[in-house]
Amino acid sequence: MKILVPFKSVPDPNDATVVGAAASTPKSVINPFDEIAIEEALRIRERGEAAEIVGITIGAPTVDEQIRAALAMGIDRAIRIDDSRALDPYAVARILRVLIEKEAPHVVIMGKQAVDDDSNQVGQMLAGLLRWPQATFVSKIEFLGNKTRARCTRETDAGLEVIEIKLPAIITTDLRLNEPRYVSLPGLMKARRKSIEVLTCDQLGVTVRPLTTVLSTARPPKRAAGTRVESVEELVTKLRQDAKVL
Amino acid sequence: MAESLVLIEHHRQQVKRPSLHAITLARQLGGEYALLVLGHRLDGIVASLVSYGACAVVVADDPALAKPLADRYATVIAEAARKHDAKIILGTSSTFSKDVLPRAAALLDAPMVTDVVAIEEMDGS
Repeated sequence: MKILVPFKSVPDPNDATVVGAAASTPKSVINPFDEIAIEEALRIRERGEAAEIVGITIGAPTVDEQIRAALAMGIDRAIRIDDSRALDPYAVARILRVLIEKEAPHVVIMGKQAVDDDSNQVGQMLAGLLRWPQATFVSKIEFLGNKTRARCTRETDAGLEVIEIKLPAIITTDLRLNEPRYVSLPGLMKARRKSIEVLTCDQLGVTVRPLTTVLSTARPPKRAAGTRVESVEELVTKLRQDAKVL
Repeated sequence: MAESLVLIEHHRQQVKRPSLHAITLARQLGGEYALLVLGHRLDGIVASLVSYGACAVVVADDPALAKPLADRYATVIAEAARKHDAKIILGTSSTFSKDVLPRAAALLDAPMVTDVVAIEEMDGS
């Protein structure tokens, strides 16, 4: 089975100084949900159910660092679509769709959302464009019927939902699916010999222009300190006069 | 023809509360809005939806829609949006809407914005 894992390079969510896309030069990491997807692909291969894992990312040469990290974790090869534009989820889905038709994987496993924009759209859009089944926010994956189907547990508002989908399909990962491994030194050494293929949208024969634009990004307003009141009367007065909610 | 189409989420014969927020938004956007509900055995839900000021309540009631499977729901939503010439489809920030609406967006060749807290301005295009 061939598994395709699209992943995104995002500003490190643990770095509190980052505001706005590509603000200064923040530290970048593999999107945590995509890391979970990579980890799952590796585990599927380790239990003998997959033969090849291909990573895909879209970005400028600076994202090669995240590609090396993914290769060091254990994916076999990677493709970078060279494009530094700010793309929206639909544009990303349209680009990935062309690559998926080219690579013909049995399953695509990817993070449910990127932590920089939290859109949670690409996987679903991709499935729609390909007319493939989808399983989103997945916390467990099992392959059945000699890998013609997948049984997936999904994390929904109502609780856990189990669905069965035919392959090929798009699966998006949720937090509880697994805990990704750390990159090992042997992994890093092996990664140097693995290939990164660079393609452009032109070479793929796909032209996209984003249909949404980010106008601005800002921190939410700081929460003001609370004040203590001495009596219910004072509280009511403040609610009327200051907060104006009564 | 409705400008907005609101995807109604329901559970156990009750409309879910966040859907009411989506209806309010449709109202605030101006123009006509239709409510879209999918599922099976929807008479109770439909009856409760007629009082929300929509120009139409679009009902997709079928055993095949008893569970919210994304490929089926997205196909129906896209079809309803086309039929009613909707400019905007509104949903809630629920796992249900998030599973289904992006797929419908792709079927409609349309962009999507998730987790909106305010809409500041809208022009015809």
